[in-house]
Amino acid sequence: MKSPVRIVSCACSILLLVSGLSFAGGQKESASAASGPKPAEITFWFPSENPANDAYYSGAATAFMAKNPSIKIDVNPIPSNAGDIETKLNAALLSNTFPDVFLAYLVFIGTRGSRGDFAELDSYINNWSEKSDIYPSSLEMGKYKSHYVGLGFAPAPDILTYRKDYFREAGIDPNKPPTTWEQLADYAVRLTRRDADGNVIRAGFDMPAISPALVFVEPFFRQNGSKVIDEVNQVPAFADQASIDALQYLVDLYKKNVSIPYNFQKSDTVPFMSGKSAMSYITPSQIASLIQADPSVADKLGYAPVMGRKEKVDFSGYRLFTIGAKSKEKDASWKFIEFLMSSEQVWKRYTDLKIPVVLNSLKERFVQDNPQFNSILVDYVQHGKGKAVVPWTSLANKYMALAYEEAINGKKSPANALQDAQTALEKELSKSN
Amino acid sequence: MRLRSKRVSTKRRSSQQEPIGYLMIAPFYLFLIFIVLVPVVMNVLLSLTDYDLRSMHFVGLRNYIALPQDIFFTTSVRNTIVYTFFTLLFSMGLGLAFAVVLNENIRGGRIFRTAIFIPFVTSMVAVSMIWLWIYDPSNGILNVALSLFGIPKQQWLYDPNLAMASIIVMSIWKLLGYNMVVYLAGLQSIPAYLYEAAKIDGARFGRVFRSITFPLLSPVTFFLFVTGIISNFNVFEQVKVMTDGGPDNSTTTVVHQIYDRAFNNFQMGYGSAMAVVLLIVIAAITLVNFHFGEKGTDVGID
Repeated sequence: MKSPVRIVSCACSILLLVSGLSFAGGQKESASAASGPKPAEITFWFPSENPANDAYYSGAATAFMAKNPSIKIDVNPIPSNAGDIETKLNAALLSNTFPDVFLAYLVFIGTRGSRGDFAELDSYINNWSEKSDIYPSSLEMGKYKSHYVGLGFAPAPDILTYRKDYFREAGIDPNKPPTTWEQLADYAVRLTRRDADGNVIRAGFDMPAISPALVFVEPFFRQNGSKVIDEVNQVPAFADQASIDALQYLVDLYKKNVSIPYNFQKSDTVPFMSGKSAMSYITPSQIASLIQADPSVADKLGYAPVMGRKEKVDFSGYRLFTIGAKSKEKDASWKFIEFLMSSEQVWKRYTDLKIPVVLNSLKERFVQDNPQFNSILVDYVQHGKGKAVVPWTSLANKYMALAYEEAINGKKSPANALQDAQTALEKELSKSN
Repeated sequence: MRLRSKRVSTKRRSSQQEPIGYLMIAPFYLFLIFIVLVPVVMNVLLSLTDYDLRSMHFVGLRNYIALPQDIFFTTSVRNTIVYTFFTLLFSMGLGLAFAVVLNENIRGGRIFRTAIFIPFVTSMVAVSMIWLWIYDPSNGILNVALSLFGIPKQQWLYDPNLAMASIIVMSIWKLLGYNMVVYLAGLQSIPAYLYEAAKIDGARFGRVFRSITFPLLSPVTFFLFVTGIISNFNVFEQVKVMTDGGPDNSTTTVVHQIYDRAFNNFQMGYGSAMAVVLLIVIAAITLVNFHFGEKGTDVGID
């Protein structure tokens, strides 16, 4: 009979295939067992901001592996947009592939540190021989409810950078950058270039049409005296008069048509990066990328000091090294972080990526290396404030971004936009508590 | 006795064949159960919790009650309906128009057919990136072309009044080819003698289209309408790549909100509730379509 023969032959084929695969796997295992202990394998994820950034971290991993052959690092650059990073990390969490070492933004200390995604580093940091050399603020940045969940290594300020050559064209002294809101608005108007139809062909000041993380908007709120988010009482505080007045200032400036619209989160759309604007808030990493792409632009760049109104404050995010809570190679991961925090690597990050040093032993050398730029960097780091460290920062960003876009598009007044946004956020937070 | 033994041997033969038959269709059913049905059931169960990728607590219908008060969700529903309406209307209408023209034996017909179909087979992400460049406010080719005619430059994806329309135009351009090809297949199945008879009777193009072409294409129209409703209600990729729901929430859609809530705001339970509502709405519309749509598809030729 044909049918049973067919079934039996199919079953035999499957059995043979499975046996063959098991045998091959067994051979591979016994071969590797015969060659010695397996190297510890760790995964390292970092946001891919630009080619200089990627080259540094890949190179650092290679240098570490050369010195530590018993540890193998799988380097994985990921998108730099905070929203995309959240998606990748959530997928990794669900699939149990969370990275061993992850280069986190400060905001993740609140959103993920509070949810136990990162391992506590207290025992590693407290026993670390270099602990006394690191800036106390860098150590404090990595704390969530008095436990270390990250190690701060890179203040990431947004620096008001300008083009001296465009300043000269507009008849503005290139050595006198704006230091007040009024000056900023005045310069923005004078620096804007338009075509015959009135369309902006070169912006006076980059103002994003879309700013989902509020990195552009928050400093103005804080400079006017607003807390934005009250971290002590863990409540939103962005509908106060200080925030409303700050948003009104931005709306008025936006209406003067001094910018080319772009998405703040997409660094490749920033007009300043392609020479299409005179002033912009960009990071040291973006500055390094600009200079790397065109070294001649280095002499054309100027840097404005931190602006103040009621408070002298600007946005300074932080980058931190973290270890996944479920990492099976925490010791190897910490060893890699120690390497990345060595004087040699901290200095290399400064020379390659313009990231300020966070070690006391390098501070003097840092300032002397480039007094003009580095003194500005120190100014921004000292007066910088990053995203609030609360579990619902991403929700707060969602509502504040909506308020900003409603206001600049004229859909609501700044007061109504902010008040509606805060009310809606408070309602949502109260439901989830 | 002979008849009985014949019946018995037939029965024995069919029962021996059954295991093989079930074995053959088992992979498909396993796929259906584990890849389609189980996730749907899990989604419904998750929607009754506050799952945030770490902990899970039963919250009953709280997520569903919160939906009508969520400004992001209500805006996304409105945007999705607008998107679906205009995309479906124009992609089907233009698809039919192109199909009717290309059904004639025109010179270069095959080249046109291929050119119109190519966008459909191109990755949506790649297409979105290209159209981001086309819509660029300062250097985009669209603004450059408009300026040649003296039309002022537009902000396109950065203008809340134009952003959704810009995405709709791009989507119509991409889907047009598929609708055209399906309509072409439908047109070629219409018997030629009907057109000959109409020609003999002196019927003009408009009358022929109204009385012969369109009614006989109703099964195709029904198919495209049903599948179009389902796929357009699930619009996500182009929104995520081109505008991320902005500016001012003018382009956010239901699936975009599901993604944002679940993956950016750690509200998997709430996102699941949105997904269940979307499933119910699409299912209801599809059932209505089948109930009313199928009545008109029986256009047998006597």
